[in-house]
Amino acid sequence: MKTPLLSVRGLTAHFHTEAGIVKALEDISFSIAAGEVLGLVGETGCGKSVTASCIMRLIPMPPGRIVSGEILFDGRNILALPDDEMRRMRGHDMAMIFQDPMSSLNPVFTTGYQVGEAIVTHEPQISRKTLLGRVLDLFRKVNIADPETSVNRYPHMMSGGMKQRVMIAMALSCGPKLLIADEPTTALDVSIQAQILTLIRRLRREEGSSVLLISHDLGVIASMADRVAVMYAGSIAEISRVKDLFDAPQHPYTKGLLGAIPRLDRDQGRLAVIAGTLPNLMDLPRGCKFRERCAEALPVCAEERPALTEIRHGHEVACHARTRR
Amino acid sequence: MGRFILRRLAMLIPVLVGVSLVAFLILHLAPGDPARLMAGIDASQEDVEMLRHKFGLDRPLPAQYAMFVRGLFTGELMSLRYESPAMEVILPRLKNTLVLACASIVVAVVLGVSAGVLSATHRRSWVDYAATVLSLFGISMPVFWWGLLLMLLFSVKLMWLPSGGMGTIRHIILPALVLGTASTGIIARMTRSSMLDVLRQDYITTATAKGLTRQLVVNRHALRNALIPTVTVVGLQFGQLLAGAVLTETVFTWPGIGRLLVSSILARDLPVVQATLVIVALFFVFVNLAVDILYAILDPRIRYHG
Repeated sequence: MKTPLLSVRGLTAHFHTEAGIVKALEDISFSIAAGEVLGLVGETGCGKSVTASCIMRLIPMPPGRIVSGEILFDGRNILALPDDEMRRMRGHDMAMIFQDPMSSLNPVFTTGYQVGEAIVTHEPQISRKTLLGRVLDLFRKVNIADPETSVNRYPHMMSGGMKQRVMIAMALSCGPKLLIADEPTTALDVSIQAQILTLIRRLRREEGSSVLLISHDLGVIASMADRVAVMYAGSIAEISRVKDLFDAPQHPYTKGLLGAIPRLDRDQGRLAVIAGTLPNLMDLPRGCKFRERCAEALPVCAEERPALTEIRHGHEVACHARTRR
Repeated sequence: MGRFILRRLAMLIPVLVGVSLVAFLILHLAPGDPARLMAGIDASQEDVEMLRHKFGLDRPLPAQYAMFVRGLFTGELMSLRYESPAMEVILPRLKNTLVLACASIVVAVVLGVSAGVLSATHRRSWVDYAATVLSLFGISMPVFWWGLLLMLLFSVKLMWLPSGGMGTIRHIILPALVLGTASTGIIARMTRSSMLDVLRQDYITTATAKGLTRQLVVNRHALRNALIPTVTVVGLQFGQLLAGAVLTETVFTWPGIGRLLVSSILARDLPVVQATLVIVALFFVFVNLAVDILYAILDPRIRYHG
């Protein structure tokens, strides 16, 4: 296997708060190959967005701190890069689409200006005319109606879906190798969600970028991703190809998640619920973080934290019940 | 926008009617007889009555008010003290006070906004603590004492700057600094808190994720948003400076409208007092209008409809 575009190894990140140390990420490892879409799923607060922020190095430090691990991008450990070099990679080599388009655009600048700014930052010598042409092309590419007028519009004059298109145009402006989409459709209407997902899928095909798609919506992941990583309480529970995960989930948590999805093709009665709640990230139990909610827990689960182990080609799971039999 | 400005200007009329009525009534309710004061202690009752009649002070209040308003418009309103038209007394001093207030607000905005931005971007560092202490110091410092301290240092000890009067640019430095001190503190506190609020916004993360330098993120993306609440404070402070320059003007013998107002009140020079109040109110309204226009320039979401 050729070297992946992005490889996260043993990433551990803490947040120091007044109440204590929040262990947001613990020993996270995954990789994304060139042109691949990796889905990252998990419930709110499990560390999906923190993972994305670590890759972009957008974690405010303090209170955040990357305790250990490395993030290799194109073979270079970006956690060790000087700030200025990292800054030049942001928006150029890796770009991000955020969850809430309503608040992600600066209200006092026109959308055209904000997209253009992303280009100028990385190509300072560009002429005004070329720049406007590039921005208009980007607006067309993401299907914004009437680009000539839209570039002069302020964010508040646009709908949420249009704003998210502007955000996508901004992210694509310098042709990044990696696109991180952090819940790109969560804040949008269902009908608009489908349009945005179709757009991201089309652009991915045209641009050939790798995508890290973060979502709590398994449906979105199923329709978009090549592979999927399931996160739970700051750790990765399971990684596999999308088809394998949906056909044969291994981790009890993944099974629980899949069981909680309503399906139209069969009569389920009541939806399955995962009993219990997330553990407190400030006071994590010894052993497996999912043990208290798990029906298949073994004695060893209370003692030892399970490591991510490959049980089949390309299918890794962190569960004693799967790896110790 | 044009219609909005016109409408705001039209609102001046009720404001000015109100201000002039209140000023007029309060002064007539206050104890003290202007005619007696003008005539002097030894004057006979007849002399006092004569003066009273000469200036129309023996006429009924509504008639006096009408006379005052007519005088304002025609410029024939006479100062009781100087025996010259009130406007000739007021306008040169108004100009002096405006010069002083403008210099102070420039000082306050430049120092206050910079201190506020530095505080917010270096939150909980020594820069932040120093700026906070200095701001509170500036806000709580009594103007007369602070003025005297600076005068002692720069005029008496170092002999760098004149201790009073006006004329050259050197004359204005100390009074502008003293008058602007409290406003600097208030503007710094306001800028700090609105800047901290803006720096938490999602669009700041977006700007950083684009690859902008921290400097551009702060100065371009954050500052413009953070200035919107600051502008309100600057407008209010400017009004305060106009009205509150009395102490500074007294300490630095600056011939401005504040001192004129106080001495006119003491001398019961009612026409000058009333006219001054109306003119200060007029400026206050204009400053507020300017603030509203600035809002629309800073924040495209604000559009005024006529």
